[in-house]
Amino acid sequence: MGTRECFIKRPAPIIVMLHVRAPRLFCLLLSIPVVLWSQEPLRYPTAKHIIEVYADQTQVPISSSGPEIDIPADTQQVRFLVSPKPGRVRYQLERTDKGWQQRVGLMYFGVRFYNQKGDQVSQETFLASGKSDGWNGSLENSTFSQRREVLTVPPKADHLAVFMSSAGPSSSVGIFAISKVKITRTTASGDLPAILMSSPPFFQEGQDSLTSAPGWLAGGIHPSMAEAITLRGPAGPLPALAIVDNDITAHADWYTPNQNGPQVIPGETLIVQWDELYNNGMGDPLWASYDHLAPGSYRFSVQDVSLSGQPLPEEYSVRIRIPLPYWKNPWFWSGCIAAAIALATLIGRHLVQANIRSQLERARLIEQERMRIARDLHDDLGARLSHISLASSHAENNSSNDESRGSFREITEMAQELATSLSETVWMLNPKNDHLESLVDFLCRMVSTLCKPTGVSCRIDAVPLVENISVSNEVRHHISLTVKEAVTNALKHSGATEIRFSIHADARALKITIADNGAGLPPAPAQDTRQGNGMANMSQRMASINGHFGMETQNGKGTTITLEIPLD
Amino acid sequence: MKPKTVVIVEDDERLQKQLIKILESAPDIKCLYVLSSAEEALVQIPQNAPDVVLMDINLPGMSGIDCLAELGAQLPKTEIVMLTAYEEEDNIFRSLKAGASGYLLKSSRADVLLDAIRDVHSGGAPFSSHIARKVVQYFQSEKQIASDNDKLSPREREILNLIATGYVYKEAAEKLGISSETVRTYVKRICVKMHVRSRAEAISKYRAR
Repeated sequence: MGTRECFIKRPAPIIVMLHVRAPRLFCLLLSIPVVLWSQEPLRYPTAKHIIEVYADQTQVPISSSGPEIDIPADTQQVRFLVSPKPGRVRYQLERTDKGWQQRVGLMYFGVRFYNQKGDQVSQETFLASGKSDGWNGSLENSTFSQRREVLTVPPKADHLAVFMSSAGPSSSVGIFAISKVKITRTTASGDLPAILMSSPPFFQEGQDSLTSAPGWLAGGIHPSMAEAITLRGPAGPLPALAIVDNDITAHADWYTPNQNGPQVIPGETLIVQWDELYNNGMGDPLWASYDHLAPGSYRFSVQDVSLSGQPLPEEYSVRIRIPLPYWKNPWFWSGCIAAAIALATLIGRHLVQANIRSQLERARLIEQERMRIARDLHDDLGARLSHISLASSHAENNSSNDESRGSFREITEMAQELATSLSETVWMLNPKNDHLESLVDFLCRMVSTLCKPTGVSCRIDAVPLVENISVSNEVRHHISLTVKEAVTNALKHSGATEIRFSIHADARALKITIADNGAGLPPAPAQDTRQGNGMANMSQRMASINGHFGMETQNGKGTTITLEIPLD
Repeated sequence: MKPKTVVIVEDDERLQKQLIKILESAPDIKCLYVLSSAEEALVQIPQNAPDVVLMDINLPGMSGIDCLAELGAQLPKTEIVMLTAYEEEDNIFRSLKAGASGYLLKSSRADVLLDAIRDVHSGGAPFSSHIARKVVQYFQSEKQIASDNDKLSPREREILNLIATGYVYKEAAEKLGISSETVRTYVKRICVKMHVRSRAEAISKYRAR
């Protein structure tokens, strides 16, 4: 390695290496990347090869089809593994990172203390990390920053040496240069400080100086990366020691030799001063982690950065998409609301039905109870009425007096009528009798019973029903009372010898006729107001159940009463 | 003539007394004993069977109709007439099916009662038209009838229809030119056929299970 004079201007890593090692080869090869660059921009590995995406502990495969990578919804942390071709990169996750992110490299300038035997006693290092203040794009464009540190010589130290290194970790890459190193010791009483060491100049022989002027040696794993350069400073040429570390596996050092280093006295204070200029970063694969990203679409970009810290045109990016957690998704909420509404409806309906059922049950129980009471009354009273009837009839037979016989007969008849009436009432209460067949049976019985004691013939024409339709209590009630009234009227007032009663039913209506062969009624309105009332009564009853009351009568030819009741 | 022996099965004490009094007033009828429940009847009557049993339909414990069925099976020669407070078709119809020889209203006059006992072979109390109607319906229903014997004869059907239409026995007899007695006899026969048929149905239902 000799002195190299070069201007380092925006080099790509490969180019710098070539430049340093084999300039001719470099020039030859320069053309190649240029040619290939221009022809095939995809020569560089695509984002697929450089960026890997991890959601929590699992890698998310990048499908070649979709433009976006879907991240599972419950991911806590999204990590990107950026594996650049060795060299510096900067990265940014849009909307999350404020600006491009870069790792800083770790390089050192330091002082080592040795004892008399030449063993190292201790060292002090001063970090050169990231970018120095004066850095302005390249070595020759930038200005050095001066640095000044104060040291205390450790015990047992005899002499010192100075060094600069491009390794914190060897993955530190970048450019590091120092110049004008000066170590002075302070004296007790404000005298001029004594200079122990001052560099530059470097490697100049025969230089007179107040202290010894040791040469610097290049070291490290790849000493070739260490260069002595001359920059154009404001005050003329500026010699400097530089390390251009573009190797993530190796580092280089500049150091002064151990032997013949400037003597020091333990406990004394030294002032170390130097100018430094650097721009470094890391060149190995990096992890970029982002926790709890909000749902949305993000672009993660990685851009190559030159050794000297300049962004290069190559940029790679991947797009990820973090879906709405299900509980933020409007579909989820509409689904939930719909489900809640459905559930509420079902519950509501169930409750209503349960309510209805319990009400029906209660009504049924009440009806049962009523029926039971009625039945008990019916049986009890019936038995006693039979009694009265029997006793009275017995008395009738055994009385000699016509009048008392008549009275007893009345009692018997009344008892029997009561029994019948009671039976009818109970019959009407009984829910089992709520269909047409029961009603027809009942009416036939009633008519027959009414006619029997009077001796009037009774002819009944009741066709057995095909369909058994349900009949309401109200209808039963009104029909039976109307028929009873009609028959009673005929028996009492018409003087008929025969009463014809017919019932016919089809699906739609019930038709009842009560015909007698009696005197009939005069065409003029009934003189007997009670009879007139009775007729109005019957008419009203029929009307109240949507039925029709008709009467045909002819003086001397009998009366026919027609009842028509709809059955739906 | 030997007096007709009668047993009364009735739980109402006062009615019991009444009936006894009525029966005792007739020289040709003798009341053997009186019972108050169907259970007693099932025990006592087989041991000392009368000619006629007057049984209340409405008894405490086992119903009169069930008792009737039991007794009828054990004592085919004994005539059983049901006593009822009301003329309810259901009960009467069921008792006829179960083998009752006829029925009587509790409130019937003394002479009606005595006549019924005397003429029990002729069918007891007159059929009312509405009961007859029910019987017509019963015989019209489509169930299979085992043999021709169980079907109603044309005469029987005629009489039954007349009664169902409202003719009393006398009127029916006039119309057909026969005597009331004959009508009664036909009615009794109809009752027997009803009984037989309902028994047959019960058996076939049992077999079908």
